[in-house]
This record gives sequence, structure tokens and C-alpha cells, in this order.
Amino acid sequence: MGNQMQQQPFIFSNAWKHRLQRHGAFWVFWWLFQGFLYSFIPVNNGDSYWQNLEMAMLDSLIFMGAHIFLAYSLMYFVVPRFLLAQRYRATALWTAAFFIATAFFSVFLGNYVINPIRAWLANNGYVQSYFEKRPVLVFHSLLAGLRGGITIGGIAAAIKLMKYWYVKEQRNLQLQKENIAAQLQLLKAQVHPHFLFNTLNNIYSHTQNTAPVASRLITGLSDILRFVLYESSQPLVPLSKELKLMKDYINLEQVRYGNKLDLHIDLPAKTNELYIAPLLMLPLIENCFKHGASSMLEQPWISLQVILNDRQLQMKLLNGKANVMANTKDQPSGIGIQNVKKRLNLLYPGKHELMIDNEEDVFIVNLKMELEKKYFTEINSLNRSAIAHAW
Amino acid sequence: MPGNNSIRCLIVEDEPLAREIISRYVLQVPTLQLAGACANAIQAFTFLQEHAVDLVFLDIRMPQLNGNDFLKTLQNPPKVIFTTAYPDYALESYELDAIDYLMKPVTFERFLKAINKAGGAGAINAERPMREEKKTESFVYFRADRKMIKVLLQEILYIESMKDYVKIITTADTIISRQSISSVEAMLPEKEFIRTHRSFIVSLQKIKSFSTELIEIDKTEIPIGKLYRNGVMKQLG
Repeated sequence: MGNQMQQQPFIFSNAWKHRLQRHGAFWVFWWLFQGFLYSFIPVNNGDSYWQNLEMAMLDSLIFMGAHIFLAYSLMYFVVPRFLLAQRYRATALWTAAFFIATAFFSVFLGNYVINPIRAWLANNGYVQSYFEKRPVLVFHSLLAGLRGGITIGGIAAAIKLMKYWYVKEQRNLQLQKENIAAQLQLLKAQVHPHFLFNTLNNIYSHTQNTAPVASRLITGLSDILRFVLYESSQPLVPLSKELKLMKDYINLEQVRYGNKLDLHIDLPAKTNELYIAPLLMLPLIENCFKHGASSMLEQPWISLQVILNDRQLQMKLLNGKANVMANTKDQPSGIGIQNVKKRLNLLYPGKHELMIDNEEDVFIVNLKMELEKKYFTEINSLNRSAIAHAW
Repeated sequence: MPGNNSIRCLIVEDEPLAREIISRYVLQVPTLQLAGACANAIQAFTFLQEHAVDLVFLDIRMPQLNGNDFLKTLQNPPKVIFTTAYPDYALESYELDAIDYLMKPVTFERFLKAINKAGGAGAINAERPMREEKKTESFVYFRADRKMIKVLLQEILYIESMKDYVKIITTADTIISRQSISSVEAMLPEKEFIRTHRSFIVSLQKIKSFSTELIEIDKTEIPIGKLYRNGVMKQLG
């Protein structure tokens, strides 16, 4: 389940070791807390608050029996059986019943356990003064029992419920994620790739001799579809494939402009077996066509240069843009670019530099990245869930 | 290998149009000889018993018996190039010693590459001229006088900033555009251009001579700023 829960076994683990630890810690805290609290009852008309501390600790320890009884009854009986089953009337009745039972239990402990021990301690000289726990009205005693009981019962139930909701929330998030992944799988399956690519191949065979441009577009489209459907789910792909994808994409887009688009592409011939996270650079190119070249009236132009320097990749992407948005210099960049930024931060932390200048007439992207050489095991350290998240 | 040195090919493919494409390609390459074409694995099995074949183009997904299983049944399998629409079987095909793996639609260029791997080296001679990307010159556009003006990078001598404008001096012209010099710097490749001064960028290949203070380009002396001196000297070596 959620990372949070794995990182905090003390709070969330169900292993016996962790359960004992956290319950133990809780009750030790409670014992000390109650002990100090009881000790602040004025002794002998208020001359001292402290001389009663040992006694208070003893009281606290004994009364804790009642508290433990109440807390576990609520946490493991009332909450799961009635509250979470949405049986609220039963919840109220059982809670009240346990509170009253606890109060009686406390009275019993006070009169028949604590008092005899106090007497014994005083008689044997362990404590200096034995002040009698005066026989009080059972009714008062009951109220005192309720006071402690309600506090501990409230705390216990609150902790139990908080954890319950948190776990549930995490599970919902997880389910949502899995749901999205499942939907994507479903979409992929619905396309029937075999049918899709065979049909493209058939069209290709018809256009091959009569319409070379069309057949070139079909191969480009097939390659893009294949990449997006099959390769882009990998954490890393060969750089050569990513570059080819970019080229295919530009070729397809170029058709929309006829000869009007002035295009310069300069890609490295050798990619030195470098690998890159898929679809990182493509959104930047998409952006060129979406916001730049297509909306431009006069002279659309795009210049793409990718240089390799050992393992460093340098991409310079320029595109002309319409002058109409001249005063929107600091307009927020599109979702595509935001996404690229997010993924770069996740996948190449400290290993990339992305600079975007949105000028009046030109949009400038300068990207530098340190790529992986081959398929090292480091790749596994690229958190797959992070990738899924960024998408 | 037969005496006439050509490779006898068999196409096994259930889609008629896909069969047609590969047949066409085979016929276009003089070193290849089309021995036959089958629509399914059973036909191919019979064909192979009666004819000698050097190379099979085998579709993986076919009704009845798929390409992989068909190949496993052969005792002396010929060389195989898989053709498929579907990349899922790629790994298994490499285990079966396939020469190559063609994804539909298969282009002629890609087909030739596979043939060369199959030892049909002569194929390359028959090769259609590959669609050579015509090398375009790198360029940028600047807006000047309400027009977009194309400037080839190799024609730029240097760039000088003047308040809100930049002056781009090329071998042919001087262009004045409303832009900051740092944005121009971001547009130019850092291997070919260098900022020498708060107000100057120069083209490295156009430098005629230089000292620690000045750079000479086209009879113009361009100053080297204090802040930029180290970087410039490093680049000019």
C-alpha cells in the first residue's frame, strides 16, 4: 500500500512486534500521565501537591486495568462491529454499557484493590502517612470512574478511527491509480493492434506506387503509433528511437503546411547506445506546432538541433510565433511543457537544464540532459511509479 | 546457394496485400528470386518439401499455425525474416535465430536492410536511391521592418545590442530587430557563436584575428568584455 505506511511501520504495521511496541508505548504514557494528574489533588488541605506522587502512580496503574478494558472493548468490539457497520443505535447502547461497566469496575478496583494495598503499605512503613481513602458514595466513585473512562475511551476510539480513515483513503488512492492503468490497458486492447497495423499496411500497399507522399505518411503514422502503444511504457528507450519518433512526428505535421513551413532539422547520426525516458522531448516539439507554427500567419519556421557530447544531450528548439500575443510574455506555459518539467524533475533530478524564452517573435527552448549509457541496473532506480504519476 | 548466385525466397503471409508488397520488393532486387508465396503454414510446409528455398519471409500471426510454431516443426529451416504487425513476439523470434524482424508496413529501404543481413549483399547495388534528407542550412528568423527576415547562421558576422534592439551584421546586410541580446544568444548554437561583451556576440568561424582585448571581424574591431575574457580565451584557445 501507500509509501507513507511502509515508511512508518511503528504506526501502521500489523506485525506483532510493532503492535506490542506502540500499544506498550501508549499505555506507559497513559499511566504516567494519569499518575501525575492524580498527584495534583491537594493533600491535607492543600499544603502539598507532591507527597502523593507514589500513591498516585500506584492508583494510576491499578485503574489502568479498567481503562485497558474499556479501550480495547471500544477499539476491537464496538468500532468494528457496530460503528463501521453503520449500526449507530447499537454503537450508542454498547458504548454506554461499556462506560458504565468501566465505572463499576473502577469502583471495585478503588475499594477492593487500592485501599487494601494502601493499608498494607502504610502498615509496613513503606509510606509515611496513610490517609484513608474514605468510603465514598458509590455514586461519586462511579462519576470518577466515568471521568477517566471517557477520556481514555475517546482517545482510543479517535486513534482507531483516524487510522481507519487514513488506511481507507490510501487504499482509495491506490485503487484510483490502478483503475486508470486498467482503463488505459482497456483502451489499448480495444484498438486491436493487429487489425490496426494490418489495415495500415493494406493502405500502404495501395498507395505505394500511386501516392508516395501518402505511403510515407502511413509508415510515419504506423511508427508513431507503435512507439506510443508499445515502447513508451518502458522506463527508458534507445535515444535513436526517440529521435526517429520526433522526426516522424515533424514529417507528419509538416504536411499541413505544404511548402510554407521553413524547417531545419539537425539530429545526431550516431546515438552511442544512449537511453532516454520516452516521450520527453516530443511534447516540446508538439508545442511548436500547437502554439507556434500553426497559429502564425506570416512565415512559419522551426529549427531543431540536437547535439550529443559524450553522454550530454543538448537540444535547441526554435520556432517563430505570431506577434499577436506580444504582451503575454509571462503567460504560463502550456500543460505539455509543465508536464515535461515535472517529468524532468522526477527522472533527471540535477541532471538536466531546461531554459525557455518566450520572446515576441520566437519561442526558444534549450534543453540539456545527462543521459544513461546502455541499460544499467541504475534504471531500476528510476521510480516506475514516479513515471506513472507524471503521466 | 545455387549456381546463379541468387537467393530463392518464399513468402508465407495470410494477408494478400501484405504478400503483394513483399513479392513486389523481392522482384525489384536482382539478387533475389521469388520461389513462391503461400497463404498459410500448411501450404508452406508442402511447398518446402518440394522446393529448395534459401530465405523465408514469415508472418508470425497466421490462422491455424503461427509462424513461430511453423518454424519449430522444420528440421532444416531456411533463413528466416519475420514480418509482423505486432511487436509482441520479437523476443521469441530472436531465440529462433531469425535474421531480422520487419514491422508492417515495411518500407523498401527497411526491406533492403534485412536482405543485406541475410547475405544478399548485392542487393545494395540494386537499391533505389535512399530518400536522402536534403541537408538544409541552419537559419533563424528575425523581425525587422514588420517583416520576418531569414538569416543563415553561416552568414552572421556578429551581433551588437543597442538598448532594446539588436543589430545583426551579416555578410550581405545589417538587420535591426527588436529583441534582447541574451535572447539572441539563446537562439544561437553555443559551439558556433560566442558572447564577447555585454553588447556583442560574434561568429567563431568569422574571426580573423584576436588579442586579449579585441576581436577582428570583417575590418571591424569588437571589444572583449572583462567578464567574458576568460570564457572567450578558453574557446579561442
